[in-house]
Amino acid sequence: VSGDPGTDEQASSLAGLHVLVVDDDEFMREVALELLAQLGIVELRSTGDAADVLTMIDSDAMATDVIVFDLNMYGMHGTELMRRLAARGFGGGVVLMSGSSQQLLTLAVDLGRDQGLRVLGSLRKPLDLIQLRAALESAVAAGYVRGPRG
Amino acid sequence: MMAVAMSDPVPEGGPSEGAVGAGADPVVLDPSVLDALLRGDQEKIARLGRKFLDTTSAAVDQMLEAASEGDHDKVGRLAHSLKSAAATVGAPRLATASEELESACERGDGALVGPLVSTIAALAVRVAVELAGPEGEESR
Repeated sequence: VSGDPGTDEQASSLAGLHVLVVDDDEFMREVALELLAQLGIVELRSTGDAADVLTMIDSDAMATDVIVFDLNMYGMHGTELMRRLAARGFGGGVVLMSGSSQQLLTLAVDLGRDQGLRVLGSLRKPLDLIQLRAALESAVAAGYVRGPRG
Repeated sequence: MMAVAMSDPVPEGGPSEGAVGAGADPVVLDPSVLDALLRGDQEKIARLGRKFLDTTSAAVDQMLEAASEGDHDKVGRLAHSLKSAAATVGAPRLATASEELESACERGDGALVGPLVSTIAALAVRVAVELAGPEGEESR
């Protein structure tokens, strides 16, 4: 495995994160969850419907530190999800994924940051474990790990 | 599901070399890609392989139906998703064909849509055969 990013030390730095994965493609959602588990993250949730995200964070007893979501979803597009998250004052980190061009991803990152979201980074599909880890480590470094913790 | 003959349709005038499911193509599936992603965990490779086959089969069925109805927006969305999934499991021909189909839909190039959908359906069957491996061959 190139980079072999899953050492115990690296995993432990991310283990406290609560991460929500949003992708309407079931296979890609499973892949993202698997990679996050490889990084030592235990508190994982996922949904295929962006509309669920708003409900989840509105009644979020476990507090979501990072939302990893696809830009090109049916129903609610990722840019609309970003707008709604910003309108709710979501204070966690956001990681964008897409199979589209890097240029489009960069535009989306800028858009999210302009709206006040803490966009940690963007990942082009197919997903890369090293890039995913880097984005999440920046969440830890920035102190986005939030409470309450049970 | 995915009741597609193992034909090898090559649309007249395209798509490009990379999208054609030619019989001589040696790289239908590169198993090292999924193996590396999942660190050689055979149980996970098998589970995600099955998930890929299930979702791809459903996507191809929907793609064929949407193409027959002339719904190129839907075909393009399905191709977009399939492009990423195919690259993830190490199916570069399928990924390339899906990308070409997505582009054709975005351009409104209706003449390419049908042939590319047929190419993708055939490639998806070949990837499924490769993913199933020798055990899958024996069970058929």
